[in-house]
Amino acid sequence: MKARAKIVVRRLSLAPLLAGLLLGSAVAVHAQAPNVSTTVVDAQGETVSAIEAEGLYPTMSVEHVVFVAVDAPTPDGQVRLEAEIVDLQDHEHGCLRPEIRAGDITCGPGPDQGELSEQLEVTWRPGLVTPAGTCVLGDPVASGQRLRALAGARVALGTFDAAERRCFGIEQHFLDLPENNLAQGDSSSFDLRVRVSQDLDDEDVLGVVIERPEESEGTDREAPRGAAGRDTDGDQALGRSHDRGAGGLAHTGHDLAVIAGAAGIALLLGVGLLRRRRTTTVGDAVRATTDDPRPATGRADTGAHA
Amino acid sequence: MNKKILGSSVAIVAAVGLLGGGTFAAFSHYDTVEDNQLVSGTLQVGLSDGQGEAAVPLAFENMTPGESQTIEVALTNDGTVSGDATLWFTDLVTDEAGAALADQLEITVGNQREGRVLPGTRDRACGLDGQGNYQHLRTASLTDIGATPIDLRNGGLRANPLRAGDQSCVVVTATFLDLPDTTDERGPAYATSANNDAQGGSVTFDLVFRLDQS
Repeated sequence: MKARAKIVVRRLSLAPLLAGLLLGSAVAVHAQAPNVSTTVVDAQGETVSAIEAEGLYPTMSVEHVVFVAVDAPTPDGQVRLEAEIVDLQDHEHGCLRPEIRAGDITCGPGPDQGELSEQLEVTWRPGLVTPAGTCVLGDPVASGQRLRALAGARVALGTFDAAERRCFGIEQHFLDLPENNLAQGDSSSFDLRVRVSQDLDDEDVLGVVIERPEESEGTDREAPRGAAGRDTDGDQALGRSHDRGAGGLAHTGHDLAVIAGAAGIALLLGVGLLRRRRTTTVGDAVRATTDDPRPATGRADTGAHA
Repeated sequence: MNKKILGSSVAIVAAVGLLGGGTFAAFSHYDTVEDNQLVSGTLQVGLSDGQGEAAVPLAFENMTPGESQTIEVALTNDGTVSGDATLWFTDLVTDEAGAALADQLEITVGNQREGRVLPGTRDRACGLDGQGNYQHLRTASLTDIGATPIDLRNGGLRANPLRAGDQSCVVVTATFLDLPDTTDERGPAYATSANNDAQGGSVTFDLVFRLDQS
């Protein structure tokens, strides 16, 4: 009877150890740098310059083409392309007489005083890069959204082979509106974030504006900053920066530390159950194999710092 | 005991399952084009007297038939986009005699055709080219002239349209018409001036210069 109990305990003691090993190996994989990376470039492959357009007036449209390359160790297969308007600011630059006459009362210096982004309609057009390196834009996949409404929303621009270069156009159309005078002399500034992902989830239908981050869990968007911090690789002065998402799980949208922590708790629970069993049925002989929770907590700690 | 073994096994499997679910993920990465900027243009009217001073309104006092007065208004596009200029006569207010006066005031509007503002002579659009370049646009009584806006683009190259920073000189002349005497059956000695109805009358009105994006 006693020998049988030892066999049972030995078998059970392997379970948390095995789970711990699995956990550790899995965490170790995700602690590596991501194997997909993108760079926004111009048609010559050089650093893309910021989008700048002055003297906009109602009915005017401006379109900028952005090239995208998946440039670090490239995975096989398809990747999904997304774009996002972030850090949108609307500056008033003081109210002109036409603005005041139109009823503009937001004339201060803050980044929320202007009205231009309310009157700009954005159209996204994915394109193909020709062998000559030019971009041939296709039909719009998303349009009718005002720039202000798009702030913080991600727009799915389709999928492409990771070995290819891809491009897309972003058009700003100044709508002809009765309230146009409110936006005279105003300016809008923003960052254009371009994302590639191996996640080809069906919910991200081509051209659909994905929910705004504040309305979603937000972990997918924030994971790169929160887990790895902002990795400025020296390009920021040229108008670019890279954020490397080392610790985020893009598919699930969950933070790695949370996942690892939950797994660790589950392991501890399992170990605890074994310990109770030991003290009531097996005796002190099994303490050495079941009373050490370090494998579980050790993995969880590793995950939190990944 | 078997239940506890089962329970611990379930917990361990759950742990592995949790992690498994987490690792069923895809990598992603983004790059950012920063500091993009879109700036709206402007379109606004500037008015002066053509000599760099504030525009002076027409101001008739103690007018007599046959008298006239002219003002020149330098219309400037102070914005960054081109605009089409129009002139509107609005807010005509009269008293009883003033209604007759408005009928007897003939308004003539013209602008300076192909007048050019020479470098360094900004705000001096009027008078540079003299009356030789003057172009007539419309003549009507003060009562009628406000019925429709006056299209200043008809004023030649200079004002078609008014480009950013450009000026155009608009000339407005008001003349108190000298009307013939009315006849009286008793003879010429009893004839009265048709202008008499306007004696003591007063009128006020606004001139509105408007720029619409071309």
